[in-house]
Amino acid sequence: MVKKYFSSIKQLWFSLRSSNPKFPVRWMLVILFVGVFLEFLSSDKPIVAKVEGNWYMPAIGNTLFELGLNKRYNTIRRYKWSKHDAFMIMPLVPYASTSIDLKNASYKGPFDEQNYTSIRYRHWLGTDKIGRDVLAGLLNGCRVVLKIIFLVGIISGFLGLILGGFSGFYGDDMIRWSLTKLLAYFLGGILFAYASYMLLKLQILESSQLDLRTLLFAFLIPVVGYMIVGQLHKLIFANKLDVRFGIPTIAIPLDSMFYFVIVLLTALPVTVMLLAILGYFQTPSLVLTMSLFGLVLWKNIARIIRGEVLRVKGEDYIQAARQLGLKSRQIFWKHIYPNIRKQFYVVVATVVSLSLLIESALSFLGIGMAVGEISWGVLLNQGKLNIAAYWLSLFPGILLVITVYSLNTIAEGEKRDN
Amino acid sequence: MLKEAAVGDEVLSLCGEEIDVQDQIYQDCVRAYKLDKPSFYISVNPPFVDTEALASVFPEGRRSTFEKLLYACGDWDLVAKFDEQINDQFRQVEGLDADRIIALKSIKSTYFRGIGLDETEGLLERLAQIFPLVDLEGLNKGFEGIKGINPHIWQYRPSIDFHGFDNRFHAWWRSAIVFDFGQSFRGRSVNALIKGSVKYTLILNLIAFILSIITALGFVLFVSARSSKIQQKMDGLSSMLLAIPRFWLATLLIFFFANNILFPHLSFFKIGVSGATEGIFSYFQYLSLPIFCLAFPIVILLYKLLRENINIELQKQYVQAARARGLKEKTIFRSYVLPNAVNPLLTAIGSMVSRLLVGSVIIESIFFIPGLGGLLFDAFMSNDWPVLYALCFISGIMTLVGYIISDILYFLFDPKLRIGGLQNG
Repeated sequence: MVKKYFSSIKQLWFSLRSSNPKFPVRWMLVILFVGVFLEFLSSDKPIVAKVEGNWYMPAIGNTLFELGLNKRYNTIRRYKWSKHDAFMIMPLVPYASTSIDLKNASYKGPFDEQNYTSIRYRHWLGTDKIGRDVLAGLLNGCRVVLKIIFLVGIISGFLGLILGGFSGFYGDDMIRWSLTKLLAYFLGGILFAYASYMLLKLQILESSQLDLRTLLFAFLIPVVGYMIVGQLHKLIFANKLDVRFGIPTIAIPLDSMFYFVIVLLTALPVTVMLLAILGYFQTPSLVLTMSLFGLVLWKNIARIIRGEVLRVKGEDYIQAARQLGLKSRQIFWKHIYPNIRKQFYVVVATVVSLSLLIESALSFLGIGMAVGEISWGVLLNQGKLNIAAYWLSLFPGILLVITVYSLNTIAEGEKRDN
Repeated sequence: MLKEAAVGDEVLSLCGEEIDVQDQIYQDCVRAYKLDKPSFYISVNPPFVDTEALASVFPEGRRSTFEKLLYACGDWDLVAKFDEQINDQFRQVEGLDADRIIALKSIKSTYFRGIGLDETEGLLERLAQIFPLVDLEGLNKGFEGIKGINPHIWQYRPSIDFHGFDNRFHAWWRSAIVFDFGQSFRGRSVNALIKGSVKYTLILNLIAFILSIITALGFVLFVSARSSKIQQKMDGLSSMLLAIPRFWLATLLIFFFANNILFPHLSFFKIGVSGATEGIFSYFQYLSLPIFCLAFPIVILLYKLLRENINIELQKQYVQAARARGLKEKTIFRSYVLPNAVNPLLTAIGSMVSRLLVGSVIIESIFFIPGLGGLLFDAFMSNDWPVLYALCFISGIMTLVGYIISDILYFLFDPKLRIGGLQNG
């Protein structure tokens, strides 16, 4: 038996663990740790508290409560913990990123005299205009970074791999459809697109906002519809009517089509395009902005993946697999993908670091983040409003530079190892 | 007191004719912006929707109400008649006292906000209270007709309408092709706005660009002449400096140089652009910080690219051959390696032309420079679509220009690409 090769994630982990220099990977692990366990590090509620004989975990209580796991939390929801003298263990930073400390408002610096009851409540890295703790904001920024990494990485990585990979793999002449199939898919496409459009329109006209369930339906209609059309075509036309009447087949220029889209997306710089698109949305939010990043930045990934697939496609083992009669889908996922996996990770890392920079630039300009959400870019924006409050621009900037540097270095190291 | 201090003539704003005049002005503006035309050459809608007629229903809230009623009943004539009747009713202010006119205005504004079937029913009841003596039977009948119909799903089938060339898309492109972008929402024409601000962006970016190319080449020459240990250290440093975003650099520079906190004697840098009346020196004084911020990442990027290319070229065989012939390292580097290493740089220069606008969005909004980037930012903030579209258009053209420039540069610097070279094989 051939020994099973390592899974995708395991391989990534091994190559990261052995990468040199060590610092970038460790830094990203720190970000991961802080982002995941944010509530245990920075929260205005205690981690553990004993109220009237009952034990509570208020810091993560709200999350659990919203998940439906913690019914008891409702009773202590409105406590003001700073005025409460029950037994409690506060997190390392006893402020959440959004908690407002009016006693220390209007830009208290790290070395300024601050107004606190115990040294635990000191703002070690200062406060902003309305008294929000900068250190808590920095820690919350780690979670924002994590969100960006996962959202942008998953959306743009998925789109880039699928579209770029397929356009490289199938080329301009490998997919041949009969005219009937082309017609069926074309008409079906128009019909399903119209059906989802009508569904969304009626929903919006009725309740003037988008329902998630309707959105899901509108997405499912074309998917399911295409499946049905494909099966129907197989039943009625393929190998039967097509063959009998000698209907010609046409090569689908998949590669040219995708490359045209990529060129269109490249025509505008990402930031200008995002500014133009974000203008349509009245209420910005992190998830929306990040999804847009993913939808715009997949072109960077697709272009490189396409090149890599073209390189691998000519190898002998692909020819051998073809001669053995493997399906093209099997060839792509079993033989081509493992060989371009590393380049894929590299380009995703560069795209993610790019999106980190763009996000902080947009937040710095005051665009794209929901009101009240704190990220490093938002802190920098406040630093811009008051240049003399250096702690608002210095610390988040340093963290941003280190993170972007780490991602770039990891990507560079992976590229060098190839 | 407040009433006395309030601006505007209350009577005039309550008067009936004023509403008509306002409507007239509104309609004129709509026609001037061609907002009453359909948005594209074709539209796919249910057969009961007359897209061209629907596009000319204004204001937008009224159209929204119209659309809601239309999609709920699926009969154009009924809804059009009802809409006309209710708007006629809004205009009949004769013989009403001030309170009722105010109530009527409030009803009208509710209707113009875009409401559904249920709210329209409530609206009709309120209308009946204002006009107790007038017979509103026609209106109520129309509404009952709309409410009574429950359209079959077949009525929502797609039908394609063609609108010819008289649409907004065509109109925009026809004027954009000759660089006429119409009026901005802030009064002035887009062309005047762009013309007023393009010089700042051009000056800033041209100087930054030329300076950064020179500086990067200088750095590369300087570093390449040093020992390999220093080279490695400088390359490591450059990848760290590459991670520094422009806007953070700008904030730090302003903090250190443009205020009196840390270095009071060094605060001779001024930010922002004034007129060039104070002579060329003061001009540079104003521009030095923005130019530094614009040029910094470009220098680092070019340096990194050049160094990578040089390292690749140094591995090649022609360098070994040159060494074997006994040429000096300096000669090899200057006349063999460098010309070959510059080539991939030209692509980077071309792609940077397209990003000039973006780079200056951030820098110009920090240093309050009234250039194109600042214009883009302002247009975004105030939803000024004509300006935004125009700048996107220009940005796309700049990308094209960038490609052309890099092609020309290739042609100039790479002998392999010249026609003579091709002919010789």
